[in-house]
Amino acid sequence: MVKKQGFLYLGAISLLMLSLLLGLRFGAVNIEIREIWQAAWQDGSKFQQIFYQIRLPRVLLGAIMGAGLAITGAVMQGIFQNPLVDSYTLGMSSGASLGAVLAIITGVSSLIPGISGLSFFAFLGALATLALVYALGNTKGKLASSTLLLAGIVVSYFIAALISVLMLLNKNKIDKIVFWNMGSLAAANWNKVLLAAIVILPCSLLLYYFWRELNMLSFGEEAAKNLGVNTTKAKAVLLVLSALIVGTVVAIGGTIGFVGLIAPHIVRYFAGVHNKKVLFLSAITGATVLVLADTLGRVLVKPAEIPAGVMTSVIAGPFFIYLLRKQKTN
Amino acid sequence: MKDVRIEKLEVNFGPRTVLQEVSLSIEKGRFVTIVGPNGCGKTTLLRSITAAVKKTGGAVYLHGTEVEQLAQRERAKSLAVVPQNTDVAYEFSCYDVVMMGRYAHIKRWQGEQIKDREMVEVAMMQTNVAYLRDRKFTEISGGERQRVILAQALAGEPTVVLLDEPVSNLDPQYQIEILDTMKRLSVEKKLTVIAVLHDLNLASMYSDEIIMLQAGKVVGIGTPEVVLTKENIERVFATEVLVSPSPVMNKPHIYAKSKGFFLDEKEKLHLICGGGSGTPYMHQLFHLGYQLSVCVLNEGDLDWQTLKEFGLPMLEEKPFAPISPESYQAHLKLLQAADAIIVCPSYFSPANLPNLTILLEPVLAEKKVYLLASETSADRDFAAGEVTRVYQILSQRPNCEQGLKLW
Repeated sequence: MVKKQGFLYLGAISLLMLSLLLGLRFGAVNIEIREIWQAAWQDGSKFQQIFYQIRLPRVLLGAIMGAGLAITGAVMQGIFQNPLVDSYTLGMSSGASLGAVLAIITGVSSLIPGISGLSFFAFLGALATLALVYALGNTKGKLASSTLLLAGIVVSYFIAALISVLMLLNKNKIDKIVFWNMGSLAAANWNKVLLAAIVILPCSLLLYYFWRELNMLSFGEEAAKNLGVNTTKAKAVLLVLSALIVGTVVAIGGTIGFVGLIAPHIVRYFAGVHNKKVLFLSAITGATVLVLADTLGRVLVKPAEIPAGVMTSVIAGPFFIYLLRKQKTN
Repeated sequence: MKDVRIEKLEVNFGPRTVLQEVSLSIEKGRFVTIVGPNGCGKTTLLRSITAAVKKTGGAVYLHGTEVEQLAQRERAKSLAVVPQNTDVAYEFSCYDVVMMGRYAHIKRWQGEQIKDREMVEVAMMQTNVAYLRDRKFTEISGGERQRVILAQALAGEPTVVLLDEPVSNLDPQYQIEILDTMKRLSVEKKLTVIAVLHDLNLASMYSDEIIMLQAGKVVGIGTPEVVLTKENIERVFATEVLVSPSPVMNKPHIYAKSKGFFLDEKEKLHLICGGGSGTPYMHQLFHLGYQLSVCVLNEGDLDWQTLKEFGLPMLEEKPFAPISPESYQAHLKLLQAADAIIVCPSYFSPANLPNLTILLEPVLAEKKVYLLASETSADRDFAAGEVTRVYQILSQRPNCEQGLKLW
């Protein structure tokens, strides 16, 4: 038993390392492993610039964002007792985009300069959207699985339309706005890595320490309460932390869908449902998935790039349909 | 101090009053059962002790503190709940499920301590589920699952356990096993047990005290002998019952009475019986919807008692008294009114022989007669061959049949 668990952790982390290496290795310019080593440790290597200024921040950013999205997805699936939700399907990512776009257009983003200001407004957008979806999906105190999902989709569409309108009305800022609809890691730099690390890693760690509550919530809210969980407080904390992560991810890389959906499912398939494992391994797996998706996007149509957000949707769309059908038959 | 005290509790769901003026107090170590018909507020009363329902009036105290004032975690330390069903789609191991019962004692940043693991082991021993520790909760039987949930409740070292119909979906052996465990803990560990039970007989067997609810009000409180009376049950549950001390525990045992299986009335049948020979036929024929009448019987006779329980009209004589001419005439009238006559395998002496010889009356010559077990008639003849003679005459009639096919 213990052996098997250790193997799972080791395997997941090895896969992440491998994906990071692939992310460093492939791209517009291919760098041999030996050359990566040289670029990392030897001054004056011809790939040093590419390695430190482009590849390394990009794979690190991808890993942190992927981890954040995945652990958020696992948490959402636990809170709502619904295997089909994540920050994307619940409209939180769209809401975060809208928050950021509104901040750019109205100019309030200049109140807090830099990417951190944007991520704050994205956080507000994510939180507000979540509240809206929650209210719409909640009929007579009951949160039906399908209603919640529909509410998320409806709100996402509504927000997408809103952003389109905003783009038409603000043609001078269109290039800044269009970025939000297509999540990408192309603009990675060390500033972004730093911000992502400062917000997403501590929030993810905090989320991880709520694995007990999430386990107990799967027995239903009343049972969890009877066992001593302050469900109202726990949910509020979890959702705010999730919104912080999603807001930051969107502010940095735009809307990247489905990572939060598929990573927890992959983990549960191999490691079971215990949230202590699911949360940790989801973060690792999410990081792996996003780094791989980004790398693939860079390689497939060289010298052009497919944005990471498009890649994840292309990969995960069919997977989502598979889950939906599986749920139906159960 | 009382473990649980409820004062003038009132709960409304919208315009509907679910509980009103409920006051009671429960002492430490008692096994208390709440009974009452569906929708009378049993579960709501239980849930108001965990503050899961919003009350509109009154107060609920747990160890002297109002439950709504207690933090979730504090309350969970002294109060555990076992629900009726635990449907869970996720495959936790049984050990993990029981460990969840320790939640209120575990600090977030410290994790499980040795004490927590020990209490989980103890609880699993108590409910006899130690062998399930690594099995998945979704893959065990209903009875095992309920015992695991019971272990979860006990792992938190509660002083009060609430059980909401804990055995309703279980096979009889598991019902007994779970209730035995709870009873033992209430006696040995002074655990206060408050249960909602559907089965009045289980409630009677295990409870120190019974609280009977009707339409949100307490209508009876006290020992099973005081509360589970024929009158109380018939009034509250609106059905006829028979209550007698159970041969198992000498506690009141409740037998539900059928009102008959069929709505439409069938033919009138008349039974010649006595000494209990008619009782099984009376039960069957009554529930099949036949209208029954019976021959003249002595008070205290077994068949007489059955007849009385059914509330059917009867012709009676004092014990051992012979059949009077008046009774004979009344009997003849009943026979004439009947569509068919059934002769049960009873014993006849000169005292009750007229119940049989009356069948030879000319006015009854055309009646359909069923003779049951006629081949043993000689053995049951304590009237100098008269019985055999009558059986012979009857069996030669074209409208007489041997035996009776009921279904």
